[in-house]
Amino acid sequence: MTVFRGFITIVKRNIAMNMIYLVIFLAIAIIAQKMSAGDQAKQFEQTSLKMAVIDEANTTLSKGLKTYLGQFNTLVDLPNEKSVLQERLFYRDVEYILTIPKGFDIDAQGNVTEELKVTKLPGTIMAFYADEQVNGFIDEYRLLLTGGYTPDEAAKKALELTEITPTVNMVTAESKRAEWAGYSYMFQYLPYVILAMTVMTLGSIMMEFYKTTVRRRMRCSALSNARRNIEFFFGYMLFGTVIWAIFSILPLIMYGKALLEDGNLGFYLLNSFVLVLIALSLTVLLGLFVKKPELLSAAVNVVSLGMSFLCGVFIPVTMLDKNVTMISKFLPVYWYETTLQVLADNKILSGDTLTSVWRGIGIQLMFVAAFLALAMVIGKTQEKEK
Amino acid sequence: MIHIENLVKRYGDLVALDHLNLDVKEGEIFGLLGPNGSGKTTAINCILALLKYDKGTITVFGKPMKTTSYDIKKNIGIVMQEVAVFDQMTVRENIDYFCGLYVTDKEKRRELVDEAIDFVGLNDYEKKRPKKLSGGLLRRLNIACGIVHKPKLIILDEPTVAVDPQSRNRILEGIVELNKKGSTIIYTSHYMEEVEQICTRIAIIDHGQVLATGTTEELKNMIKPKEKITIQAIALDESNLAEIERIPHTIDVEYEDQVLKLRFESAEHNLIRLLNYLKDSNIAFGRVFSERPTLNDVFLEITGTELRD
Repeated sequence: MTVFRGFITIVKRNIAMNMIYLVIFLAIAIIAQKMSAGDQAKQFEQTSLKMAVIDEANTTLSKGLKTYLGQFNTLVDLPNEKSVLQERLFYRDVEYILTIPKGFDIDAQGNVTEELKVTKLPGTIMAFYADEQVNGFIDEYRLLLTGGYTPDEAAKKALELTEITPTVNMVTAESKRAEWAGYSYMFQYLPYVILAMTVMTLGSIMMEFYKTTVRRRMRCSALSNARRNIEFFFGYMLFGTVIWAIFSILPLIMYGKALLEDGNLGFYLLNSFVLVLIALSLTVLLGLFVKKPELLSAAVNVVSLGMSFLCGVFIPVTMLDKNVTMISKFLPVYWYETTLQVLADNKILSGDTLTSVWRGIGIQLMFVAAFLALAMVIGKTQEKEK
Repeated sequence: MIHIENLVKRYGDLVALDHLNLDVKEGEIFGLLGPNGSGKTTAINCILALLKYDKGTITVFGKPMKTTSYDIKKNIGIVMQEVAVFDQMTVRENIDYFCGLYVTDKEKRRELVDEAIDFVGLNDYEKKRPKKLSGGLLRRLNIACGIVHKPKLIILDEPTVAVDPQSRNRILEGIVELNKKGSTIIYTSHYMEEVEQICTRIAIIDHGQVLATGTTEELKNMIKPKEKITIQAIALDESNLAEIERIPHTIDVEYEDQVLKLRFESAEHNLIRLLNYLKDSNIAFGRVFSERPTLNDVFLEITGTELRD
């Protein structure tokens, strides 16, 4: 079992790199799951500012504006003295000072008669919201005034309008995704890590074993081609099985009972095993072209990241653009993800859902067969050329 | 041990081997000497069944050599021109791996690997990866991987290309030692000094044909010049040169920049006759060199071109 031993020796040399991919995977999966578990509707929250409004105008409009700003911010009473205002601003007792000058109003043409004066802490994002609030109220007031309302009515109406809170419904592309179990997210990100680890490790092994010089030396040896290929096959399968086992055990460790009680557990495992076969067969094909370490790194990124972005690993399948989906259908990972989606959406499979799962797995197996057949044809051609 | 008869190998219109005939006997260090592109490596590849040939027969250990002749292959060790090792394995792992292609018993393999490491002097580098080794050490590792299973026949295809003089000497000494331990060696090179130094029999090959075969002495005897004398002599005139040319066994005389060069048919008493003439004619002379012909002279005589061309 010399070839097999050599295979394992080189795999061991790549363990550090694989561990990096494993950590990246776990980080992505856990972060993604935590983010998905949170209330997405509350991700934006307006911040209340400590604000002082110096009303020199004392008009209906200025009073309305002060009342309006008080709804969103904490109003601080300050004397209209420049030194006091500067000191309070310096010590952060107040973050935004709005001075409404005498004679501030909106004329019949809708123009502002006097400019508002704003003093704020430099570089605060919150102050931007306060500016927006001031402008919003004045625009509202102006609109009502030019629409025929009296100043008192316009100020009152503008305040009423701001009290109306619009209802926002977060629309997701698939409604059931929010109900996905945590382990489903782990399985969703599997293609990235499995493709990266397999192509990186087995690719570097193929580069070593397929070096012209080494191949020549092996062809001169007493080891038959058939024996060499069998040992290679065992090496591949062992690597694939170990990878699959690791990524099957990980969700079990993290989610334990919940995963064990999932009626689709068998299909989850079968789907991920077929994914490993895809990674193995794809590596065999790529290995025929990639002859340099720097090319291998590029191939790992193109294959793992490329398929992940195109096939619904990082972005859910249902959110993919139609044109992207057209391309994705020609890639095996897309079918892994669609199969996974059916499994995650439906706790019990029957009829159409069961058919979808088997069809997805079948298509993936066809990709495996196609990659291997292509690799055989290209391999033979390359051999003849040499 | 190896018998090659009328071997023809073509690459399209190019005839790489043109009815090549060769016999390698057990126990010898057989040198295949020829310039780059003469067909040495092609011949080796045909012997090892790495290349299909168009015509002819090759037998190794009395049996026809085929791709599937594993019983023959297990007794052959090969050291290629290019270093053939795994970059991601250490020195010991590499040697052990290639030994494992022939020897399955773990204990025996360990002994053989230890011996091979000792033999090439890589004891201090066992745990290093090939990329950490110098060119010379890398060549030694390449050799260790090829001979670790103690084969009956070892084929070394230009193993000293781009190797420093110290490592080269060590490699050449090692080859002689392997031969003494019972291995038959086929050694290809375009370095005539190496071939002359270690080979018991030599075949000069060019344009895919064997031009001459024999021991170094036999090959040198095949050509007319047997001795070359170079002497620094001051102010020779035409009459002096004519008289020198009449010295017995002289083939030709060349005089340029106060340096006189002569070639002789026989190797005996030429120098004394020449020195006597110069002394009698009161001609002042300086440094004197007397050389036997080299394999390069043999090659030059047979092909009309320098071996290094």
